[in-house]
Amino acid sequence: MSGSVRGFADYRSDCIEDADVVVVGSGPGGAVAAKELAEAGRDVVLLEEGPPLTPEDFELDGAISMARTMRDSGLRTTLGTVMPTMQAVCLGGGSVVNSAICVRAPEFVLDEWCERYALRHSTRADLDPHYQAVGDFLGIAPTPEEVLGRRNTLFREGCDALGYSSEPILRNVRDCRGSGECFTGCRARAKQSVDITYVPAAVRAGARVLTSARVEKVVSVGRRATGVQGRFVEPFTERAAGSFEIRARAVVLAAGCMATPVLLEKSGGLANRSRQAGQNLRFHPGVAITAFFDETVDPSFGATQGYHSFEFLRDGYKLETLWAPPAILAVRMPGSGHALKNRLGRIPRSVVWDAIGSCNRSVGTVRARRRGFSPRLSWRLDRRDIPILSQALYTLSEIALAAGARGVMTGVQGVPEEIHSLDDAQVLRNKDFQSSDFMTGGNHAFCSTRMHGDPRRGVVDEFGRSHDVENLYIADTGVFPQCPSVNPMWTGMALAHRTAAAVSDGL
Amino acid sequence: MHTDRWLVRVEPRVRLLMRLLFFLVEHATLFFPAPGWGGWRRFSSLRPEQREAALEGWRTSRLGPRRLVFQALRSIVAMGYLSYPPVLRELGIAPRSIRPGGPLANEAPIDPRYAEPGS
Repeated sequence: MSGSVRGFADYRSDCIEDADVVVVGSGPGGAVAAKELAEAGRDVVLLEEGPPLTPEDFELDGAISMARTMRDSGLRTTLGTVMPTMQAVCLGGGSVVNSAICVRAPEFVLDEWCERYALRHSTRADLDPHYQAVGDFLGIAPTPEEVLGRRNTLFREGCDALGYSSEPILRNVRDCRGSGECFTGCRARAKQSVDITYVPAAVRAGARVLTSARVEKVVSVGRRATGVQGRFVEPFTERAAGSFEIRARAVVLAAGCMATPVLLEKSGGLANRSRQAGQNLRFHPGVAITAFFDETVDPSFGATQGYHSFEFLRDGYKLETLWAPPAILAVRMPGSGHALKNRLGRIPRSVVWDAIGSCNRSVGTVRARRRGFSPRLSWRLDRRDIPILSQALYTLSEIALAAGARGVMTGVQGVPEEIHSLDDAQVLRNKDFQSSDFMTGGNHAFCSTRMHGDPRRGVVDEFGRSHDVENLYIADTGVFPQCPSVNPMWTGMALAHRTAAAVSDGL
Repeated sequence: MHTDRWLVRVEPRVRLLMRLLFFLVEHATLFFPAPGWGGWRRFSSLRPEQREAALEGWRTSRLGPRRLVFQALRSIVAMGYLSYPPVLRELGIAPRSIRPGGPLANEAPIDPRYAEPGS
């Protein structure tokens, strides 16, 4: 049996449909759940607010690309500590515009989750079969040498010189052309984003996919969800058109950790007896350096993020290489006027490397606005987490200088605009920084509907089942109880893989 | 014009915030003058070196919100400047013609949208 994919132009009138399971959100979590449930013989409807995108739709201009593929035009920020954060809105969600990094959560992280959040089946050994299933399906493999490019190999050389471990990044990519365009969409169709992998597999197994369909409410009677209601929205303009209702025996929310709590709140505070929905929001705040070399690096060539280091995971940070549209990267460059222009002129001899911090003490909230469906995000970088970021920048500077960099820029207030030696960099270790001194970005977000073994302290159990609503499940990174310390996609997909089995068993 | 192409795609709420940002920067020098004679005029009426000094004041301020205003303004300008095909060509980082199974990016020609007209 083959399913279908419908877009905005296909909706002639309001519609009401029935299904075994309705899945809200077609990002990595939702797509995995839809495919697994459809292949298990369940009648599945997968709903996505954004449109499907093809390589012809991918804009090379970073700003315009963000305006087309991200919610709030890609300009969403947190309140409190102001930090940009993004959420994709298209079929395939974040997997279409991320850099395809796949990392299993470390054993020590999952052990801590189990211990602190009363989880009994979420050790690495428990999750490995689910990681494996996703990895096999997507063909996750190390970034090949031929597409590393100098930007990535310089990172390796710097780590080697200092004796730090490093490795090519595992990615869900096949036949990469090294265009460095992961963040604006892969024109080579090399990235195995879920819109071209899991969603088609779900459709082949009979799932019906409705794009441009914004869910506005989960309908429930007593302790049971009976379906969802929403409106069709025009791609890019978000102009609302007809309405729809999907009646289902089970509801899986996978709208992302910044949208799922809003949906629960807009549904009358559903599944929130614990009062934890929308709480505990955490990020991996990212910081970055730009380092200048004597040689021409050609930084735009090579895998967007091809190399990383786990050396400092237990210290709270992970190091990575990075490329993005220059318009986005320039945001972090210090200076203005002629000084800035001169620095931009050195881009061909520069690399950008970043670090993500496991800042578990820095928490925030996700709240619905009175109008619309954009979340109100509050988050504050805790003072105790600041040394994680400053130390990460010191380590990145150290690696760059070891690789032969002539200058390093961190973009941190109170640090010399250009660091030329480790002595210059010591300020990163010694100064007492404020959160506003850093230019951070937070594109890994989690914990807003956390799992907890105690129903009073979490929204779902470790299988994604709501503690309050019998047939409601959550399958996005909101269920993480803490930062995973590494890129979250694979862990989110592994958990969704397990949740899909729980949903099927519960029908 | 390039920045206009972007701004027209930005949702109205964010566009309003951007207008407020431009209004703030344009009129702030009426109350906090830029150095030099005539530094109390609107930003767009200042001499280039006065504009640079005024921006430097925002950028290096001890007040986080002032620095934030500068970063937001610079981000908007940088997005326009570094999306302009001649700038990207000059820097050697213009996007290449990429297609499934095609040559690696460093061996591919420049994407026609970014190539020199007539090349």
